[in-house]
Amino acid sequence: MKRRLLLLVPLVLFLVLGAFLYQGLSINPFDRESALMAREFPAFELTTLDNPQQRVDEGDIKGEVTLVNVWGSWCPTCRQEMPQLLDLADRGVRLIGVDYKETAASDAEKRAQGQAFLTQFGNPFAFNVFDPLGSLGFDLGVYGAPETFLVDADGIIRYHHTGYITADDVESIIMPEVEKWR
Amino acid sequence: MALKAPSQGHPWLASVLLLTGWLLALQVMAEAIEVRRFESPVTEQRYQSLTATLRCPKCENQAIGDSNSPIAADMRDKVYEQLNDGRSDKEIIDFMVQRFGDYVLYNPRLEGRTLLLWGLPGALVVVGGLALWAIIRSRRRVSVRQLSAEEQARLDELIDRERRS
Repeated sequence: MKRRLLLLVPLVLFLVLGAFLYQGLSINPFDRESALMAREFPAFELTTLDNPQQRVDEGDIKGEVTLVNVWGSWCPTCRQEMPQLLDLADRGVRLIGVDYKETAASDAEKRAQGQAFLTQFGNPFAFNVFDPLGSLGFDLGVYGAPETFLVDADGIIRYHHTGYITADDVESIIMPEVEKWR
Repeated sequence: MALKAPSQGHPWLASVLLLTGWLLALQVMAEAIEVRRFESPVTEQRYQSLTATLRCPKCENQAIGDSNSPIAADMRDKVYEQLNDGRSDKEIIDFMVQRFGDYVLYNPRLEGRTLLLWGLPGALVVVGGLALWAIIRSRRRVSVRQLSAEEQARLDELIDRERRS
């Protein structure tokens, strides 16, 4: 009898492995925790989108719970995300944009691209950081836009949203996270 | 009657098409190739191995050396820049992990939470080996077992019957 039971070992192993691999099929590989979680917002020194003379750095992010949204006029999903960001701004959340790697050749044209995007789709941002080479994006570990970081008043990254924020996400994830860190 | 080969159209047309296709392919290849100059063959070797072992965060299953995605190109630029600054391989890898997480490592580090990952294959080989050893040993014991008198009698009878037929 005992020997008979031993014959079931391969079947059991197969079932365990099968269940393990099967649940792996439904895991979204982009749902992974940011490497910057609970770390300080990276240091940077750039200018604002509107004014090439106005310098900004990580100190300008601090002071209040803030959503930092990385976008670009070349990014179609960023357009679809805009209504949700405007909604968040209406609810009194402070948003700062990072205009990430516009595609035009010169900086002046890149700024024009970014500004045209905001004119057309709305501007929920307190200000926009102009990041033509993607250097701030790189330090944030951004690998595609849109991406959104929740930064607390001390400048610590508390939440990272990869990809598009849906209207549902605003209610179920973003607002609770904002409240949690306020 | 002379045999005629089936018509193949104008032979020059085929050559022109072939040449065009080849030139197009060349152009595509030229776009994908980045020209980089290295101080020494050793640095170039390090560049090749780093870009082959760092995983592109955007494309699920490609090394940054194989990927055309913009972030992979940015990462290659950073690797190149840091190699020229004299950073060590470990520093460069740490730099990437700090930003993009352990995901970018095709060779996960050996640490507490990756112990299972690294240890499991070895452990399975050991367990499998022990099981195999146990099975072989028990089989061998069965085969040397003496026949009982009853079995021996039946065997003799069978052999006897076989001989007579």
